[in-house]
Amino acid sequence: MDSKIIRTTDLVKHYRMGDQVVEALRGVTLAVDHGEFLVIMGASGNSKIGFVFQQFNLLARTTAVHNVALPLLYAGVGSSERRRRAEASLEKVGLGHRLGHYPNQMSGGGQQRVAIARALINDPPIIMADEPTGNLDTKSGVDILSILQELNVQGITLVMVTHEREVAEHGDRIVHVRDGLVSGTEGVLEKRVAPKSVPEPAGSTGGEGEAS
Amino acid sequence: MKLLESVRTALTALRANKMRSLLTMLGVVIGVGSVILLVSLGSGARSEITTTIQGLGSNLIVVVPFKMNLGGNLMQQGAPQLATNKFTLRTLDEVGTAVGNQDMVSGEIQRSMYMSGGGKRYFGMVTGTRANEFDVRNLKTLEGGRYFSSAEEDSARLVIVIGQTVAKELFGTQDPIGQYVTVKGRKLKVIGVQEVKGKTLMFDQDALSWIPITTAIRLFGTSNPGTIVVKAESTDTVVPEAEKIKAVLGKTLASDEFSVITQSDILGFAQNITKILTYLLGGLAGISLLVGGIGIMNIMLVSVTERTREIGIRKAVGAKTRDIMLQFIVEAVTLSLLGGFIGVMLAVMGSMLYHALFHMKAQVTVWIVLMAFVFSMLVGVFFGVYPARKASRLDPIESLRYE
Repeated sequence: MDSKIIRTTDLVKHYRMGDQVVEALRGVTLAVDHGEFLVIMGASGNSKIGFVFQQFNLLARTTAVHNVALPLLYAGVGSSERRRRAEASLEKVGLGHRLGHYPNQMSGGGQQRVAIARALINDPPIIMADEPTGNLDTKSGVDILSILQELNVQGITLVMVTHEREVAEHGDRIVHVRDGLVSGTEGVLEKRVAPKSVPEPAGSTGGEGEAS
Repeated sequence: MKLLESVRTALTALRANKMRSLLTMLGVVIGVGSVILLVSLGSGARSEITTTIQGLGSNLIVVVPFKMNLGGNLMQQGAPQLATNKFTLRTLDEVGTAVGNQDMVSGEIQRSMYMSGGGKRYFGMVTGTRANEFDVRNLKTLEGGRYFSSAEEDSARLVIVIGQTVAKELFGTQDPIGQYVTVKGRKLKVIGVQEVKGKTLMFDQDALSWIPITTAIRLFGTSNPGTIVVKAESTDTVVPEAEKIKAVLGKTLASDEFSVITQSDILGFAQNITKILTYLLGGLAGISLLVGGIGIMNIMLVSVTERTREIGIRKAVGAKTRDIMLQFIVEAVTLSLLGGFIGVMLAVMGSMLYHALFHMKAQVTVWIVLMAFVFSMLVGVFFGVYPARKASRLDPIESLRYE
């Protein structure tokens, strides 16, 4: 069996923004190991694919539990099974007590956790995270990294995009992308470990905290 | 995804924008409501007219002193030719001879005028007729007193039979029998009061009064009956008797100086007119339903643009093109069906109000309600498909980038 979960050879991605064609990737060859926490670093605006987004991308007028259950809805899973699995998934990210909250009743960190719970609902072998901490303050960012590291320990492969060195060092290996090409790869020598996150108290909407 | 889930998703989305959903529905509410109400009023009027005409008696033949074409194309009809009235009391006799029974023929001279009595005045219709009028027209329902006799007709006595409204307006709670009513300066003795007849087509059947035709000729200064009514022996003899009358009158009168009309002629004519009226009203209301549908399409298009991001998220987590399509069509259909339902309710209430206010029948039939429902659903599907297609074809990556 191949030990790689993702392999790309000369991957090219062009997309159109208005009248301009943006060459996001111009020939990327990359391999991701099973269970690896790979970080892709580059200037903001590179490669926008993934399932956990910088913008959270939650449905606004929908509760946390329904947001998380959404992928199951389209997979044809029955309503009680959907709820059970969504609750379990939210439990995993420390939001078991905020099932009925709407996104605008939660902090950015809380919303991102809901997004991670949604990504987890189908028990995926791999999670892609596109600048998951980009819109968060430092403390909430660390909380999210802690959750991602914990999922990685449980065997889920992670591919995370960031342009912050400090965030990148929470992974195993960093791939630098510049101008649509891989410009270098480095193993993280001293992997940072994010302290285990404390569940947000119910009713709190602020995610303030200091840098750790 | 199951249909039930789509309905649930659609309801959530509609509830999230309550005001907008309500206003969008309003177009369909008004459209469906007015279609049902107007068609119901139309068919109510139609059945009322039919009942009224049938109430004339199926063996009634009416002869009028002008040309009246009730058959054929209504659009080519033109106004009736109002020739000089050539009917006289002699014409009555001729008609009587033609059908072989003078007792079955009556003439009418009608005038609207002020009548006074009991210290009050009342504007009503006075009909000068023969003594057999009440038999010919099946009016034999007196509440009190009696009709005038042939003898009273022959000697042009000053007597009058009045309707309930006339009695109430002039004499209030007093017994009108034996009192006097002044018409054209002459005092007429009240000898009879008709039973309550009620209103048909807004016309008060109790506002009528009857006097001997000979008296009418003296009071009104005319000797030309405006109408000759004939009671045929049976329904089967109506047509042959009408033919006989035509033949006899044709000898002395020109073809545009008289018309012989049977109940079925009038019935067919009235039904023809009311049918056109009903279709016309229904058509006009149908246009407002169409406008309501365009309103739905407009709002759904706005909604698709506004919810581009939502569509992107749904697609990113696994919604297929047809899931999104279904969601938006169900939203449009839910709006139009809900609007249709409210419209039906309002129309039923409107027709009850109409009945209470004007005492006229409005027939809300199951058929028309079902039609309006099906039509409003079709409006939803028809005007929902285009926005739904637009929504379902959005590129998820583009939509997620949409601000």
